Amino acid sequence: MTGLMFLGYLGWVDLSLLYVNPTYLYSAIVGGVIMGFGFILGGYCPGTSFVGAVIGKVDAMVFIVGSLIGIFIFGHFYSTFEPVYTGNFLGHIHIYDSLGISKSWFAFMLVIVALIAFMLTQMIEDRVNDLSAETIATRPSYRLPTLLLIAAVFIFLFLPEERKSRMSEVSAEILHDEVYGSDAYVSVQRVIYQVKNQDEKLILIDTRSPKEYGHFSLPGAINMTAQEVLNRGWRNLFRKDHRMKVFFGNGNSEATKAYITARRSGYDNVFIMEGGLNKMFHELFVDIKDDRISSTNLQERSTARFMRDARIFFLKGGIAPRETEERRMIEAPEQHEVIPVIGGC
Amino acid sequence: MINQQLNYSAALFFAIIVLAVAFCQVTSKRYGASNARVAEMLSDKPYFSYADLHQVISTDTKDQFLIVDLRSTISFKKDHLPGAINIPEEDLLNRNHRRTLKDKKPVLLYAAQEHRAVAAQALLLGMGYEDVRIIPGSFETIRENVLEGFNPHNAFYSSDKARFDFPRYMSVQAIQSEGESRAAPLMPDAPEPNAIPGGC
Repeated sequence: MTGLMFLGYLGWVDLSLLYVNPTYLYSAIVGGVIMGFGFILGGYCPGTSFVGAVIGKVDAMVFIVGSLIGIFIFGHFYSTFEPVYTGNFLGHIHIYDSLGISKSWFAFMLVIVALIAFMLTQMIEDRVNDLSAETIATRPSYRLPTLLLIAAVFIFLFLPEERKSRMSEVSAEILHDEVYGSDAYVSVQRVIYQVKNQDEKLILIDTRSPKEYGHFSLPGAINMTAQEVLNRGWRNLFRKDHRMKVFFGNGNSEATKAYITARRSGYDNVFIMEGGLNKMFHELFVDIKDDRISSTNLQERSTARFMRDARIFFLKGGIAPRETEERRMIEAPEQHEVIPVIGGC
Repeated sequence: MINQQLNYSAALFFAIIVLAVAFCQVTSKRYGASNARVAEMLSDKPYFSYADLHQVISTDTKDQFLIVDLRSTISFKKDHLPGAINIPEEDLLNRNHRRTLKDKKPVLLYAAQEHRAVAAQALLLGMGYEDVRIIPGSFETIRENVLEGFNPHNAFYSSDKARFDFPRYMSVQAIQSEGESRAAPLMPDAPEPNAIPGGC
């Protein structure tokens, strides 16, 4: 438990994936009583009985036959037992939640109790076996490991349950500078240019709701709302470091949320399309500057031409049929099926 | 001899644990809330709508909130929401504002543009403040729709709402139908974890 807690704290083990046996109160009590009787009467636990049988102990073999009969009876009359078996379901609960104490305190007390129990049983064993003082003195002593174990759990009392940030995360100061500077943004024109030229480097990410996404989205865009950014399935997408991941929404807000979440967890090469779809459509179809195509100012002229061409291109739906396999390959996120680890005895 | 080995290995394990924990402490980025928690709160916190804001201002219950103006000091001096305090966005992470923000009141943010307030909200939530919401839109839209007479038509205004019926302009039909099939893998029917319950 101590080891797991530390591994969880260090972020090497995801404790939420550990399977906790669900608690059915009645069956736990009834089963516990039967098992207790069985243990004491039979002198074996299921595991040891098989080992015992293998080395030729007759009582172990009888024990196994008995447990098979028990399994048969239970299986045969399961429908009768079912209300007891599934009665009073409490869910996947931990004892520290029911007691209302923190996990670290519970671990601390459990370790102390366990150590005292070990000590007492050792003392009782010594007294029963009537060991001489000499053998006790030459036996390895567990004093130092015990002390270190207590110290380790003691340290854990002063650590927070869950770490607030990880090493790979980007600090708030950098995020602040990026969002309030211009590093985080790409212009609508640049996105249009890249979409038009089917730039392989561009990955458009639609941060709006799936409903809005189904209604309309930019060509090749994938749908990922701001709170889905941290999903495990998307990690591979964000690890394609050389590609531009551009978040967009109707306006800037949802994209900003997605950007900050993604950047903080250390994903690089992510951007916000400045102004979102509203600005894009405004510049393409409302704020038409075609009169400037013959302007003497070179920049104005070329921008106006570019936007006119883009408008014609989009109105014709020029991109749609040319969507290729390659683009689709980005979309399917790898689904990491999370299988909880189920422990045995 | 056995005892010595036992002690050494125990000490080694202990040292590894202590070093790892110390390493984690040194390299942590001093955020007050984990990234997953911030992302969750960002999606949970609804905007403080103009309808709510209008009610707060008209019933004069604004002392229950800490209204923060994120614009520059100059624009703040020109005009601002009644009862607002000014924290320019470049000073947001400064330590000297911590005490004001820790006031146990819900914080309402507004800025020159909505997404700047959203960014500030995300940063403040990351610093560990719990109740931070934003007033949508820019200060101009707030003034138009709330201060200079409440406009019920825009009671739930947000600059993040679609202003166009997009498909009317751009014909991307082919993408659209494809898009639906693509959205599908995002929400997989959570498969029953087919783990084998073991036991002794």
